[in-house]
Amino acid sequence: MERLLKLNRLMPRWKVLESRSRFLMFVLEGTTESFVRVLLRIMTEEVPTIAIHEVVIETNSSFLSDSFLAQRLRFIPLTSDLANLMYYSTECPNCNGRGYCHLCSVEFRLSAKCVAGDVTSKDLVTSNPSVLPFDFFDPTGTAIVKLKPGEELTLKAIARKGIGKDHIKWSPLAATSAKYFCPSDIRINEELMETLTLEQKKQWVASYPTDLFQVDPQTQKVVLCRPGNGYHNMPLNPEARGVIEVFEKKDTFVFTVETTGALKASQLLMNALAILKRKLLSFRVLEDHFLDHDLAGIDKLDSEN
Amino acid sequence: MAAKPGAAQDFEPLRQLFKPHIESFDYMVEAGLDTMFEHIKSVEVYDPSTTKKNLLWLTNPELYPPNKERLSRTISEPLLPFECRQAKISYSGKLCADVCFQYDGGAIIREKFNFGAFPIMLQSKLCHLRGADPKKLVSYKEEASEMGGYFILNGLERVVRLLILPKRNYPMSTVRSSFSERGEGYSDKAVLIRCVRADQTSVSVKLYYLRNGSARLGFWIKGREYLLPVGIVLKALVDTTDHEIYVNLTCCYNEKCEKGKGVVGTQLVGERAKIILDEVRDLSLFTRLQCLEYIGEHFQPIMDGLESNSYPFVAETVMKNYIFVHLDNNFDKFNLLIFMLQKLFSLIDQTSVPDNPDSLQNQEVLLPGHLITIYLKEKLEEWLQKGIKLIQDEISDDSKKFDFCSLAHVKKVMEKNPARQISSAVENMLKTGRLATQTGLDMQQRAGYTVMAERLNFLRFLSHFRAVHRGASFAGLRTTTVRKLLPDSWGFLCPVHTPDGEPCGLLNHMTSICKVTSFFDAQGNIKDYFKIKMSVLKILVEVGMMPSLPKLVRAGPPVVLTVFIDGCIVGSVPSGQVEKVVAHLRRLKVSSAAVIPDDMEVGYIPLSMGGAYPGLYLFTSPSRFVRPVRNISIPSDGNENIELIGPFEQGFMEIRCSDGGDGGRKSGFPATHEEIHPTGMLSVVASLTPWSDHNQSPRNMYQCQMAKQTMAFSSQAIKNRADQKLYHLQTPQTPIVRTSAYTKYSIDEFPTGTNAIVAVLAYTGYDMEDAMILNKSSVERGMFHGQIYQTETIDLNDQGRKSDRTSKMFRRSNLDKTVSSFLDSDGLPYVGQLIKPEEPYCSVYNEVTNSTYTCKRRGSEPVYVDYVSVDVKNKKQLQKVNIRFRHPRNPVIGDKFSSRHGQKGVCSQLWPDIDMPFSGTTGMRPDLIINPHAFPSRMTIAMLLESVAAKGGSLRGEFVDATPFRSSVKKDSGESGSKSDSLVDELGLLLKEKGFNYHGVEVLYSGVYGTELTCEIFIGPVYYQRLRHMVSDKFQVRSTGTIDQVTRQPIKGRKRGGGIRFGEMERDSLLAHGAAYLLHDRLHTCSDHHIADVCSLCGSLLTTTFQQPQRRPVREIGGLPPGKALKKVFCHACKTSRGMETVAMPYVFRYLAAELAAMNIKMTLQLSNGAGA
Repeated sequence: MERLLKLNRLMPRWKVLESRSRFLMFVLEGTTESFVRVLLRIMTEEVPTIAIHEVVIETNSSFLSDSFLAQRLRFIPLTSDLANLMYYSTECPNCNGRGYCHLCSVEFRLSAKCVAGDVTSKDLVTSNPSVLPFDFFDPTGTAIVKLKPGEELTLKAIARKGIGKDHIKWSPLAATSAKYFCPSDIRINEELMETLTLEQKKQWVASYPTDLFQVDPQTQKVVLCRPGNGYHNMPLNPEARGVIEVFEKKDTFVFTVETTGALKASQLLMNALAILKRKLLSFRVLEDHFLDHDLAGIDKLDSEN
Repeated sequence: MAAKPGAAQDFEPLRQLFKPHIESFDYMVEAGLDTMFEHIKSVEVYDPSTTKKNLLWLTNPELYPPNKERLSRTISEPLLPFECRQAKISYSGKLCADVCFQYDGGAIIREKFNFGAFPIMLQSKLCHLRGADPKKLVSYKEEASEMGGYFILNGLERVVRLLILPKRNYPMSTVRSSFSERGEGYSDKAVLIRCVRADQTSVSVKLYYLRNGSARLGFWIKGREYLLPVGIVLKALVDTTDHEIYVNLTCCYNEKCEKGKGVVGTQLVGERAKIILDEVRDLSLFTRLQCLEYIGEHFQPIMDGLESNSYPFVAETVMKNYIFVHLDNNFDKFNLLIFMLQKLFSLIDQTSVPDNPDSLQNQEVLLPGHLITIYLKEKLEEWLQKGIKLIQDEISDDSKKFDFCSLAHVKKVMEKNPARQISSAVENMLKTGRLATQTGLDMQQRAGYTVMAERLNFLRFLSHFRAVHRGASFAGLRTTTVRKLLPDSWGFLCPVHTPDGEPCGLLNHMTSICKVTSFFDAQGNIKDYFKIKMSVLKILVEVGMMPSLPKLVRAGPPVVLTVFIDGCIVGSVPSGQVEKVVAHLRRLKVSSAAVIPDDMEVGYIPLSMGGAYPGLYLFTSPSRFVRPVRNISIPSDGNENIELIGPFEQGFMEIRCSDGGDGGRKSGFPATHEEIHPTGMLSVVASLTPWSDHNQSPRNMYQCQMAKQTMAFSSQAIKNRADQKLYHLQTPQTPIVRTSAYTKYSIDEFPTGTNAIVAVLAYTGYDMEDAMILNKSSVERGMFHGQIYQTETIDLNDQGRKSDRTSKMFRRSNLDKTVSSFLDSDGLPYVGQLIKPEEPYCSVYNEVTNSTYTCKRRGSEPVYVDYVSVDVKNKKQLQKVNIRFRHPRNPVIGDKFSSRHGQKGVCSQLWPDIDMPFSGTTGMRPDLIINPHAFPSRMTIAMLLESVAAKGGSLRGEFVDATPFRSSVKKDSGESGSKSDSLVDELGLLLKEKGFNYHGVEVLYSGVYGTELTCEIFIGPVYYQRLRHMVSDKFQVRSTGTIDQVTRQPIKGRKRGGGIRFGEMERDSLLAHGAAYLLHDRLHTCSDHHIADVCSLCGSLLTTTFQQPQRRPVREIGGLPPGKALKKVFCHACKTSRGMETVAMPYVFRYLAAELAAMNIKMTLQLSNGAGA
């Protein structure tokens, strides 16, 4: 509780460690796990992107079945900067939720007939030039299927806006992680340690499985071998109490974000924060509601303040 | 390790596995049929009116490759296997043979007969796929690695099961209690020998011991056993004297060595010889001729076609056809009989032990080619017999005009018994696995000779060809002795790969290195057994064997050892010299220039104190198991010293493990041979388990089971197949951790699973009790996606009577517009279309009745139409259609998965990705979570090793070799010796190099709270298989539904929408709980609740009937519902409705009353108002 109170006084601060188009690594300081979780969650599940949602196959004589083909298509990341401006197809006012208008969908066409090489994401012809397979300008696209002589593939794919909570294809995140920046610190109480015999020290060291400590062969002192790595939250031997002290530092996190290519990593973070903001804003709306309808309650709150 | 993409795959090791099947069929095609035809006895018809004889026999069999029937005779188009699979026809070629007729020894007239379409084994010499390279095979629409070895019958693939048979031509001493039931005075001991002719037909002969000291020779003719005093047979075989027989029999007894090593004879042998001779004398049979006449007289009634022959001739025929049929020479037969008597006496005197019939030492295997040959022989003989009977009938029937001398007439009569039936009989045998035979063919079982070659996955398919069954007759045995794993089968049968449960130990699998000898030598030429025998004889005589000649009395053990070649006594070798002879023979076996075949078995049974009966038994015969070992007494740097050994000799050989040690041998018995690799003792499937030497052994057995029920990438040619049911994994992967066998047998052609990131932790509680949590997003991305392909064949020719065959066609009804969304105008569904249950998928139009019939989907799930193939052979109208449906089978809760270490589990949740724990450093989230409790009791250490190794391997981008028994291989290469001894150290270092934890653990953060988990979690990629048991195929629920017509209770059976029985024991438990209302609900309300009318006056349940109220002409008032007619119930017996009451009861009670009434028993109910109602 005390820790939380301390944190509350601080505002989270962040510092970018590394930034590339699809990769972002930053340090978030002065916050709690719950906030980190919220951010992670929104980034994976709630930032909308565009992905192929419906595939209408006209001819398919390739060796892949229709559903397998659709499965491959839906995981091609599409550039989704437009996603925020688009409607969810079910909520589209333009087409009454049918999901085929230009405001809520992007149509791709693919027609290939025994081409040299593979059918790749570059063969997808878009109806909206700003929504493209993310690797459209790469020399090689993402392979969809290989065709044998005489085989043919014609299809129409309709991409729609969605979020990762519904299906993982809409998740812009490829990999993400958040870990404590500086894991807990361990200090050995040298005075107490010296009271142990060498045999006891060795025993004590052996009781930690991951070679955390070592007995220095020269000084016969117990030393920490792997400072700063992998010894967080280790179980303390009851006998060891007092011999070492563990200082936990759990308010700084390293954040790694890697996207599929649908969004830039920085864009993703911004979008995620915007969504978080919008979610918090909904409480403002709630406040207005109280002001309008329950003045008495607000008065009470005011008087308390 | 992995083959480069594009590089030509080497399927040769894979083909080796199927060799036993194919080689045996090849031999049948090339020479086996000819040999068999020579052995078919000619038959004779005699016409008393013209006093002419006609001799009939068969020659010149010809088998043709499968071809399509064409109108023009000049061009024949090959029939390919894939066409047979799709058209549901048999892959068969024409079998022709000449029937020769000879009138009174005149000119031979040959007539060609067509014996019908004979099934052809795939990849045999007559198969079109033979010799085709992978590219060509693909153009034939087969797998690139198609190995053949099976038959296609009506579109189904069937394999002939390899069966264990007693070893041929080896006299085996046996103790069986049933022997003493043969008759008065019989003991339970006998020596039996299964004699096999050159055409693979066999006749077993038993030599029983009588308690009075004599012996009887028993053999079966037409389902009856005939027992002959052995003395008569001895005398009938050769012209001999009593003295000669006596000396021959007692040669194995030498007064000088009373009780030494290798002594088999005792004083009693002489006594018994006297008894045997006395028996013959008592029948006053002294000369050979008298004995022959005696035998002939007794056997003439049983022998067909010899009614007019003399007794000695009959006796000769009996001995030729039933006694030691593998030998042609009577002297050889005499010698063998003497030997068998000696062995029998030694068994009685306990100077040698009985041979174990369950040991692989005394067994061989039944091969498909041989089975078909002997079956075909019997069918041909039957056909000939039937043919002459028909002719005979015609001759005796005076009313008909039948010219015996006219060949056209004779042929016409013979065609009444169509020759084409011969092939269809063989085809039927292969289709059903049932032998339809009178004689039994000297086989132990009638059914179960063939099995379906299921292509559930490649490992299952492959196992069908490597499986060796002990025989159906042993499955019913209550004793477990036959199922035991004996040391004799080491290296030949896999100790790991046998199913647990009912066929445990009876269905074994050959090891990957085990081969079966065939008629072909290493160069692919047919072996000349006569030449082999002669050259072996020559070599034996050179090294000091005394050849056995007529009238030459040998000594017996322990002075000399008898030498056999394929059950024929050829001489004797002094026991001091025999070891040298054996070593010499082995050396010649290995050397490529020698005439001795490389798969000859040198069965040297040394002298012992009351052990197995000594001798030197050489076998060159086919269908023996052999396996390669290194002969270290022959210096070699390459593979020149690899010798093929059999199970018979193995027991008496010193073979050490290849770890460089001596295996704790005493210096007196140095190892002469060495295993090539320790994994040689494992079958193909068992050797695919990574580091199986680190697992508890039952787990390896479970894995062998589960590997065979994995839903895998079953076929590459799936487009061209029309299997009834085919499981298919959509996104398979190659395992990172793999054994050398994986590469050797190109399992990458048919991968069986996915490298899943597995975290071992207790998370959410949904991983309790072997349940596992799958990552929902991983599944959405395609992990373990799969489908079931199911083909429906609609053949209009099959349906209905012949008359309306032509009038049927596929067509959509013009009247019914509702079906047009499902069916095209040709009456067939659109490809790629979704069809829900009860929707039509095919429409058939009948021109005559002008009606359409639609086939509707059954089952409970929607399916996609994957493929429609039509038969275009019939140009006029489509008659046959295959419609293949695709059932999507993506993982759902309840599906079963397993690792390769016998660790199976059921998916209990598809957990959202975001809530899965994740690694702080890599951000990786597991695909799959299992519980740590899966490990302590099961001790599948290899699974932990696999996880660590696969992690290291994937970090380095390399496959990891996980071949078991690595520590037992000689470390002369220095590669493995330089590194640490411990496998864990080696794998751990790989991880450490890449900055990961040495033990394969990682810091994971809770997916819910974002905090670190309190301990480090073991996480890494493990190859997981998806098993075919899926809930979608298994769930069974009902609330209401169909009921049984008689009892009105819910029916059983998942297919019919039935329920699961709430049985007695379930009832008991509810009673124990006191849950009376629930019990009433289950057993009454939800079952056959019924309200019956009972007449309280007479107490009858059955005499009540409804009385239809008389319909009065009431005018209906418009708009009002018709007035409900009051049902009036009245009792027939009492003629009143006064006492009518309604009682709730189970409907079966009423049924009981009716059944009782049928037996003239009246059931009366006494109703009381007890409930206060």
